[in-house]
Amino acid sequence: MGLRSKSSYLKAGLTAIALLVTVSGCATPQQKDGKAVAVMYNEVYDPLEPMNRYFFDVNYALDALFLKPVAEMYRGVVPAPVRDSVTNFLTNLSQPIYLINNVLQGDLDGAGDNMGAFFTNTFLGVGGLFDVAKLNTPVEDMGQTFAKWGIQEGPYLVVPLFGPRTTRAAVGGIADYYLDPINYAAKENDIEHAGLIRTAAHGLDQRSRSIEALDEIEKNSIDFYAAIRSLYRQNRNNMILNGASNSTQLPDMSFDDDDEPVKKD
Amino acid sequence: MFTRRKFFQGTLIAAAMAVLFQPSAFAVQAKEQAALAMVKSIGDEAVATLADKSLSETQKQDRFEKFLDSSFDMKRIGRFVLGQYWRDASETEQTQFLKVFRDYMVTSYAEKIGSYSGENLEIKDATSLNDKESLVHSLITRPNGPPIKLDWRVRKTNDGEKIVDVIIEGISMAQTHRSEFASVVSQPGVGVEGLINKLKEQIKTASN
Repeated sequence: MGLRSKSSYLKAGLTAIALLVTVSGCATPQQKDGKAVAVMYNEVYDPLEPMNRYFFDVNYALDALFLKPVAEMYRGVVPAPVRDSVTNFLTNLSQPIYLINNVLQGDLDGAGDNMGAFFTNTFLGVGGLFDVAKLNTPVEDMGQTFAKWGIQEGPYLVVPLFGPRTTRAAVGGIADYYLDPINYAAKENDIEHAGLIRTAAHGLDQRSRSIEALDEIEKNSIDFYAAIRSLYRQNRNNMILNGASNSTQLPDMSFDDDDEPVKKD
Repeated sequence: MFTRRKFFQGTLIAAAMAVLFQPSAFAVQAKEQAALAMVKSIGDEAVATLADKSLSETQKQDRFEKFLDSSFDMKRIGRFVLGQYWRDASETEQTQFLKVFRDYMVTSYAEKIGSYSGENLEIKDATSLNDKESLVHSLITRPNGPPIKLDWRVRKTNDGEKIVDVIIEGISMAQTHRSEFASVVSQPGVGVEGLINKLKEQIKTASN
């Protein structure tokens, strides 16, 4: 590939970031009714709800028709150790972009783990099929990096085929694609549709491991869309904090003003 | 000599400070210790009940209901999950909602009891949230797969320590229900009454 296409990637990336900053700027909560609006904003910011609900239904139908049956078949036919190796292989391919994001977030310990896991598992774990390093590296993406940089999450989106995203995470996902060294390596070696295959494999892997959990959420919820929206946003926040317990995340549960508010630290 | 006197003064002030602040520091610790002890005792009981093979599924569910009523501050949780709509609701609606919400919790979580397969609850430590609440950190260790982080939000009430929220891997159960219920109540023509009816329907279909 020539130099020109590389610079066009860079341009696309920069455009995406600029777009994100604009969108998140528009998304500042309105302080019209004072506190109530601010609190509701903290819980959920979903101005595109009607459109999101539509795409949620579309995704639900597509999942029921294609992804879920294939995931069930995959789980039924392929033995567990092989499926584990698929997970390991996909995680190993993600280590370079995790590393880049950890560096951008200033988490050098995390980046060191990514480096260690990638080299150990690539060479001792047969190209990443086995997790020899056992470092349990968490998922790091540009959406989380943007959050660490202080960019607002923006409106909640349900992206066709891909599912729930905050605007920040959606733009981050595009940025990740253009930053990921594995995608460039695939291009250099003329591996066709590498990104598409990787995305599909990742989707199948994830779906096959969440069949029961999602079924249960659907069964016990009275508004599946709202339940998923809340779970998605809380999980994203947890990922941004790398699982560190943070009391600022917890809502206030005192009603009579008979105690101090939750300590912010 | 001068510096030595200063040193003595400093020590005296430090000692006085230590004496002064000790009681409150002690009280804070006592609150966390109480929360920790409470979660420990119910954790032990829960694991013992789940692992007891002589109990039938119905007996286990009965115990779970009793556990929910005695260890959780259901009124506070119910009020929290209704959020801003609590104030709009009439007193009858509030009482009705609390009852239905409790039954909804029982039916949603009861079947999870059946899927128990040798997980263990490892209680770690507690941190203070405010003057009444502590967060007790624990881990569910599984025979296969990484441990799951489980935090208990415990509040000091007149009836002793009560659980007000359970946080799994950073996901608050109370917050999730609140968000979902708010979405239902705010739909045109639904309101608190509509929410109560929806929950009733849900309980009916789940228990069939």
